[in-house]
Amino acid sequence: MSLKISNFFSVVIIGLLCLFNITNVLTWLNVITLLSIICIIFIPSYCVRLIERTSLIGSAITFFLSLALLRKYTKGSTGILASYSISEYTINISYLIDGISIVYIILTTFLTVVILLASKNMKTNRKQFHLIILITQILLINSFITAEIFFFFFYLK
Amino acid sequence: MPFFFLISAWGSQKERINAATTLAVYTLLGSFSMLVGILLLFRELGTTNLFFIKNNGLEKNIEKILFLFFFLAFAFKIPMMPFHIWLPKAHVEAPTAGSALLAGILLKVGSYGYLRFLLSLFPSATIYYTPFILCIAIISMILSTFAIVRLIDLKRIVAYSSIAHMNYLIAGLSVQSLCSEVGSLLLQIAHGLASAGLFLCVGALYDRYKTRNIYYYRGLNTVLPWFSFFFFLLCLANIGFPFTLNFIAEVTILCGLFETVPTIALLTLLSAIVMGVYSFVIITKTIYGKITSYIKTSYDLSRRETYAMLLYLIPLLLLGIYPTMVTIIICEEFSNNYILDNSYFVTATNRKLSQTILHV
Repeated sequence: MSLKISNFFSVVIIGLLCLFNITNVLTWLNVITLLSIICIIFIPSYCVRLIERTSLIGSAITFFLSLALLRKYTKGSTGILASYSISEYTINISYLIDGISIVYIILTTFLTVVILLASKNMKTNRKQFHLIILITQILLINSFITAEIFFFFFYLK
Repeated sequence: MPFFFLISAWGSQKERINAATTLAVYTLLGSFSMLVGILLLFRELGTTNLFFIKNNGLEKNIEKILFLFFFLAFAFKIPMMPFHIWLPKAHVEAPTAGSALLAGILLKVGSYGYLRFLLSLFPSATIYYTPFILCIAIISMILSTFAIVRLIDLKRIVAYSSIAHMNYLIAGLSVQSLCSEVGSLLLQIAHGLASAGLFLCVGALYDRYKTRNIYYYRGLNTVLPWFSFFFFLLCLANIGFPFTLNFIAEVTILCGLFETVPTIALLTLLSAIVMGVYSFVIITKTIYGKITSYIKTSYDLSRRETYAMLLYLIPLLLLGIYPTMVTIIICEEFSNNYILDNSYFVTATNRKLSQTILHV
């Protein structure tokens, strides 16, 4: 459970790698949002409606996944999302889902859906706007599930 | 960082760069303090893992020092006075979606950090600093409530109301009674929905008339009936009207404060009353009365805006009528992990009373 490292930067890289542990609902929360972000990046800026729909559908799926998380983790759950070895160090990326963080995650995913739904009045740079909202969502979700203070700091920034 | 770009690129007025810079500077100051705290913690224990720190504990003196560094970071984020200057500026300049995101989620990161790290990792320091935090929270709440009375910009009014609500819930968290802590978490949900909805209302008004000055608006119910309906309901929710989640949350926090520190509870009540009265003044000024000559007929809420308003309102009303949906999840968590045994204020009788109130 403990995290023993000498270099914070290696933790940051591993934190990003841990997104790809496909056996976990938490991972899927991240993957769906990341997929939406990647799709939006490749959609041309003039396809405004497609960008809007992609981000809205991505955030809606994330919201329903967070509800699935509520069903799964109501009684509290802690664990290791990913485990990696760098030279002599074993780095465990721990997560913590309990009655507190689940509330924050659902609030985040729900409000993102509503905000994207209501952001029709944005006139310029709509693609970048949707990207920023989705990036903010993914960072906030991760700041609410992480059990490492340094990761919390990283996601917060 | 995303917010810096959101405000500087999509801000509504010329002051947006200034607002974005203020936000960045304040946030960086807070994060610098947190980074120092993290480095000290790492130096002390060789890890930043929550489970490890919780199981092993820290020396009381080190806890006190670390608490200050972390608290400063969260005080910037919540925000508590005197670190609140960035918030009204950011809200005024941010686009509607940015304001909703800021009030709905981003401010909650500060209170989440307070709950997750300060209460859970530094218990003895939390108890030591409780009166200090409670004082700052109450001062911030009262000052921001009275500041609202002098303001004429609708967005700034909602922003200051956010500061008051956030400090209200920090006061609830800091007394460490089960009742007030559960109420604080409920208020986070309620405030997230109500304030985001109010920012959407103000944004809708600004899109149509290009001003947020309350003296400009009168008799809006004749030209924008659906807008008036939602604005009225969201204002009621924001002041904690019965049958909304805000009411349940505020009453639960008040019960917790009354059973532990009644004087503070009375000050909180005073602030809530002032805010309630002024909200009614705003509703009367903007929605009712004879329509002003400046107000031209405009289209009412679009379909998307109406759906968004409904999505803000429905959970507020649903959870206001049946809050057990949320309290069932969080009560156990709080009573097991976040109530400190030797708190200043909480006695065994208080705990029993809290549990009785929450069961009722």
